[in-house]
Amino acid sequence: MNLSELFPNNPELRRNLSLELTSGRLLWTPVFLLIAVGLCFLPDAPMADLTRIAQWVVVVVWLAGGVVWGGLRAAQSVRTERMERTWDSQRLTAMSAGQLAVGKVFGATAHNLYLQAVLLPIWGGLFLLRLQDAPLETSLRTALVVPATLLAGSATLYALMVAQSFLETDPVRSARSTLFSFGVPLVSAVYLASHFWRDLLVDPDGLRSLIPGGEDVSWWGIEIAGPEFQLASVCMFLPWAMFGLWRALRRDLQEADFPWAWPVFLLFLGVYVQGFAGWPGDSSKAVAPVGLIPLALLGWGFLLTENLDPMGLRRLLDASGSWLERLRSGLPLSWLTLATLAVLGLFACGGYMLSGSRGASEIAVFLAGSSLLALRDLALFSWISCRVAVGRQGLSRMALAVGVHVFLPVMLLLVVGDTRLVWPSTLDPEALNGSSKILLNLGSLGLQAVLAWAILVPASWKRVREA
Amino acid sequence: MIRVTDLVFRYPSHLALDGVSFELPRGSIGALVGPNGAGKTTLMRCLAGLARPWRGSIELSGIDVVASPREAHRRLGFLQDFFGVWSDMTVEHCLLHFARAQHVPRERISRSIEQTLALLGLADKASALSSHLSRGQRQRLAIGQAIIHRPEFLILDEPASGLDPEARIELGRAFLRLREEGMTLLVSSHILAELDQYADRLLVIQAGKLLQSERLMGAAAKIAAHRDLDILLADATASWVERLSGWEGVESVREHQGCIQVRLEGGDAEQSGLLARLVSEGAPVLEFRLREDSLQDRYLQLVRGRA
Repeated sequence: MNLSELFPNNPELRRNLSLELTSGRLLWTPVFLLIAVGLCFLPDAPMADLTRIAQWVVVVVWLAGGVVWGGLRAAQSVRTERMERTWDSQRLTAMSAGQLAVGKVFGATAHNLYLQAVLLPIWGGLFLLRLQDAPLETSLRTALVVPATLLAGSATLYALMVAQSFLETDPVRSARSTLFSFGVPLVSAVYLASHFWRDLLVDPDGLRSLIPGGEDVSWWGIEIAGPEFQLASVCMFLPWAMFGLWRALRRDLQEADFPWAWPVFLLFLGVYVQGFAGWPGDSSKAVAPVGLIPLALLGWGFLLTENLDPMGLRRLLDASGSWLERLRSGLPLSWLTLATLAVLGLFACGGYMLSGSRGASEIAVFLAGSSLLALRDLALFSWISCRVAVGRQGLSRMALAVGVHVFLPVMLLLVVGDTRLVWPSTLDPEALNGSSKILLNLGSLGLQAVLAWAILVPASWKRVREA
Repeated sequence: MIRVTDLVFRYPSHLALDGVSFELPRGSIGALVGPNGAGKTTLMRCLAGLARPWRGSIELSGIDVVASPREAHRRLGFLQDFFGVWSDMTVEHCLLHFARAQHVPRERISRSIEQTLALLGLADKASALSSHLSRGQRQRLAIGQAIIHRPEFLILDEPASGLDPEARIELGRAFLRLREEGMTLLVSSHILAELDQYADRLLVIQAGKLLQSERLMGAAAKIAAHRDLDILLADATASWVERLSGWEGVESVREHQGCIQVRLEGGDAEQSGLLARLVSEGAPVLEFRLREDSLQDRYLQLVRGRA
């Protein structure tokens, strides 16, 4: 696959561009924006204030048009095609997964990207106008690096929003998919707005970074300026988002193979997040396995949200067919995530033990507690996936999650004054002081996992076998 | 050729296809019929490589659809029961997109679009938005999108549903023209009279099982072991019934509503021989015709027989 096929000769991109970038939109979008910004300078007020107002107008338009509307357009790009019954025709063409991925991310949102490409230079220019006294390096960095980060960040958001269309077995009727389509762009916009708000109204000179605090970042011991680190981060995650979308499209085009890319991404994510805490072998400080936390959350999140396909499970567990064939057609991502968490945890644990750091015991307990919790919830959610109708699975999972993670701990707190019987709060250094507490905690989780597997998994398996 | 062997497809609640096997020769039109929920759409989606069967194999001209679905996609066109076309694009733009997406060589794109528009009677609608088309025209546009790259195989799920009689006849003619180009078609429909116009193979499916796969029309009659004939005489029908019953090759004979119904052993030669003998012996023959079961008759015989 060469760049020519991905961009100039990409039929899906060309189709979308012809629909999105009409001559009217190309002409009127910048005219409208320039008029809107120009109007901000009409009142009789200090130039600095007027510039700030103009910047705020630009930011609002960018958040509304680039983040919220663009994110929604991306989320709806495949979903709409499924609703209008054109998606299967697209799947049957000779277009590759790469062409469809680029066509959807950069084509279906072409007007939103064009809007941002016009807006962000205006924002950068206004920033330079506002901070005339700032050092040239700072001004240029902020005026160029931040817009580039925001544009790349939008593209990353779009890729993720398109990719989420493929997580659902029935995304057209899925309330969760609808909630996700609207919710993620809105939450992103609110998060970004809070930082622009601080910059524009509270601390005019504080826009060094969109990371809370705006400080320089120490990542794996390297000191990096905030804006540059954000740009670098977005440039790392954008290819991952596109790669994830490409893999999802390949699966949708019946080109699925073993989901090796997901554990590789988890490894990358673990390394990326761990970079903020330090190297596990660093004996100068007892570093918690921070990188494992997002993996544990992702694994549990998948357990909560992933619809397990009973036919996929049966295909996976059935004795016929090669293992590769069975894995590629039925391996749930939640299982793969938890397996990756366990393997990475063991490696991290080994690293700690070799380094002689006291973090070894922390990570061992964290790993054991998380694994037992995940095993218990895996049995619970698998039972729901196999026994409850698809339409009621989401609600059932939520009810179960609230029951075992909120109701049960609160009851225990009221009765015995300790929630650790059902929640592995073992990263709390206090918990390490008393080994009996840890053993009680792990023993409780272990007992729950054993009971869940002994009672629920055979019932789930029976249902799968009956399918 | 389409070759399906022991195809099984499971849904969580039921078995949709249960050991379906058949062959459809190149250049033929197969009629896939069966009651609602029989498994027709699932079978077609498996053939199109859009659904992965639980077990069994599907070959399109030697390509394993299960193992290499993308390879198969390039060689087939598929129109679904509930199809869609982009409402904000013109007819020509839709066809242009699919021509590009199917890697039709650039120098052949215009000609392919023209040919497809002419074949489907949409030439005068080329610049119309598809949202302005009638249902029949949209249906033809969707077929045009599926055949713009002239695939070897065309699979159509209920292509005539919602069409008026004239549009159905036109559609049937278009299918025959595609077959003449060498395309192999598999068409499912509940309108059996329409399938009768162009199908030369019958595939009857019920409850996930293929009840029968057979050749149809005149070709079937030519290779059959006997002929069913209707003979209409000007008079003396009853006496000719009696005489015919003793003739060589006549398996059975009876009078039905003033017409003599004869089952004759043999083929073309025996049929022409019977007519010659009737005339030579002075029978006042007004009509002498081969009685063929309609597709509907055959379908009902099969389904009721199974029930």
